[in-house]
Amino acid sequence: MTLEVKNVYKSFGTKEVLKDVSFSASSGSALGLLGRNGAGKTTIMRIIMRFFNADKGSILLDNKTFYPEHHSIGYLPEERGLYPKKPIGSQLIYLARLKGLSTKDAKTNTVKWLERLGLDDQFNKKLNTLSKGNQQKIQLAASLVNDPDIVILDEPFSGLDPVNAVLLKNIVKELVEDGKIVIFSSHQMNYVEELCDRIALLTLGTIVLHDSIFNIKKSYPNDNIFVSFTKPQNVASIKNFVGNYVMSFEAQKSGTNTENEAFSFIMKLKDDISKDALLRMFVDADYEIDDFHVIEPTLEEIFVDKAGDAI
Amino acid sequence: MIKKRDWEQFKTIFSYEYMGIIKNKVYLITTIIIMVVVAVVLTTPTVVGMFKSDDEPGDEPGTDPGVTDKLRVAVINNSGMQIEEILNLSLPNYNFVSENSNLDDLKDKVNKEEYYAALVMSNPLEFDLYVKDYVITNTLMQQISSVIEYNYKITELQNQGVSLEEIQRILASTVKSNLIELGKSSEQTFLYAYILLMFLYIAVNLYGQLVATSVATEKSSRAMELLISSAKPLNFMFGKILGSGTAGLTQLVGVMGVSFGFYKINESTWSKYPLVTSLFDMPADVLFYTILFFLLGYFLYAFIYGAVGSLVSRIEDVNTSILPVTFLYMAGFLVSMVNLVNPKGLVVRIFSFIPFFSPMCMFLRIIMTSVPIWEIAISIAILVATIIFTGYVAAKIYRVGVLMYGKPPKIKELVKVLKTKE
Repeated sequence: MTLEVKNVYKSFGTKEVLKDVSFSASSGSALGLLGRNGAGKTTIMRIIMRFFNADKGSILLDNKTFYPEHHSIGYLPEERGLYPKKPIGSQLIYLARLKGLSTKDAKTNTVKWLERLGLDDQFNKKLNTLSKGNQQKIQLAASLVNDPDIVILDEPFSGLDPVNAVLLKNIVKELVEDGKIVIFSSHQMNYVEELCDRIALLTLGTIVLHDSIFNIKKSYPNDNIFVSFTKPQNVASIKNFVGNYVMSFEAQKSGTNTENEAFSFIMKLKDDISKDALLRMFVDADYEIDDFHVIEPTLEEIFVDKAGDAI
Repeated sequence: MIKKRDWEQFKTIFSYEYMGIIKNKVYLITTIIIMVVVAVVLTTPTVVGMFKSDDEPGDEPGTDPGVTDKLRVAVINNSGMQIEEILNLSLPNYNFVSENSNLDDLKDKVNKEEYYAALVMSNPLEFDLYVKDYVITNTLMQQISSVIEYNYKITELQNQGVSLEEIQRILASTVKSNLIELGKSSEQTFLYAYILLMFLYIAVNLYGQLVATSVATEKSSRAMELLISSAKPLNFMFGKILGSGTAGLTQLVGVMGVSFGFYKINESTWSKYPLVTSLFDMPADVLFYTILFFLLGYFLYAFIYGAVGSLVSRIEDVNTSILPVTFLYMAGFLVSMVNLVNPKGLVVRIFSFIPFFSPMCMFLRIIMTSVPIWEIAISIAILVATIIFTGYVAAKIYRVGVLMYGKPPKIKELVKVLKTKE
């Protein structure tokens, strides 16, 4: 299955929130929806969920108009909350029933997800007796209690401690392995990088980047080289050695005691110089190389590069 | 066509809302308290009666109390007519004593409660009565008046040469009259009209406001987005409104059942009080109209309350936001209450066709007067049409309102929402 957002426009009053937004997500992969605060991530999710309609454009599932109520969907809203004064178990069963499960399945799934999240002893507790992080996990259980085929998570990692974040990461991985469509937004770039095959980056309501992370990184110039040697090297002599090949040069001073020596260096190649040429030069000169690789931009750097200027 | 999935969702929401209210401690305690109060009120006279008949057989009204217990009334008589003796004979509960002291002294004595009252007669048909604190139920004034009047007539007629027997026969003659009401007796219906109107007012308000609070709670606890991603907003609104309404009806039937049960147990005690028996021998159609107008009124106002609740972001704002709606309903209540004594009045008749007031005003007319069936039909038809329209508008507002946070929308924005198609 492929869920496709196609040329969607949306305005609230005179403010245009989404402009010609298109992206797609397929079964068995996770799409990271990125963007700064107010970029329109939540709005596009709400449009997918049909809380309101787009002014223009369409949401398609396998090229047919997508109606959320006809499919099994798990949606974790940005606004977190349930009935604070009601027992957790009954609330989850209620939600599962609303999502179309039989009473028996609703019960089974509620117990299953509470166990998966390590909250099976909280079945009869009232929601407001739980800590904020655990309430967040209940929220997640509420979105997934119907074992949905399409999972849309708005900022699922916010408010979770590192242990719970890992738990959630594993759940997302499982969902992807089980062949679900997973779309999630997050500001934690390390999780996005780890979990998503593809990202869509929203800036001021337009998609500025939509591709696989691999391709995106490839599209950035790969002329930043990291070199490290088995023995400390004199900074001045290395600088002199590569002088004509690089635009910038930086020594990383960790691991050595003296000011003028270093194990590793970062250098930016001149436009007409290839990586091979640099490597060959070091090898020919009998330097013992420990590590030699292109430094890829991190997702965070890409994010700042693409969305940083937007106000 | 209602789809199966919608029906399943509605049923789930309905029973969750209904059970939520029924199991709520406040609801349970309130219902039990009302039932206990009703039971106690209905049983008390029987219990009191049991003790009375055993211990104090002589304490009946009309028995002549001893002289010391009599209330002393001072009399300054300047009328030239002998009146003290006849007053003492006619009003055995009082002791009328002639006094020659001046009026100011007497007033003083009345104030100090040496005398209960002071009677000053200036001529045979005129007197002043001085009392310390006048209680509205006190009939001494009227009693003295009639004694004096009667005495004056007899004396005058005797002076004219009419025999005492003749006089007594003439003065004792009374008119026998029977009022045969072909419609409804307001004397009988007054009490239950009053009680049922009070009930309608409280019940519709209570359960309508419950809907508003419940919607606003879901919004303020931010549960709404997760909820409406699980089921259709319309199903939520109808499930909630019907769930709360049914909970209200459950309470109503329960309280009515308990009242009727305890009335039956104590029926022998209450049979002496026609006002009370009229309440419980209420015709079946009154019961029918009570439930009908409760449901109609409830639905109309619950839709409005639900829509208002969906526009509120914080639970603290609910009370102020629903105030205009409450006032609207209160207007119908006040008009019907004021016109309890005049149920045929033009105002009630007009109001009984205006949907926001008709649940109370038409109800009042039906139970207190004879309303042509076509008038009832038209009134109910207008009301039902309004309910359907209000439900449609409320559903639209609700759909948009539940996801709107921050400042409440302006009227202009609301109208725009209503115009948008699905």
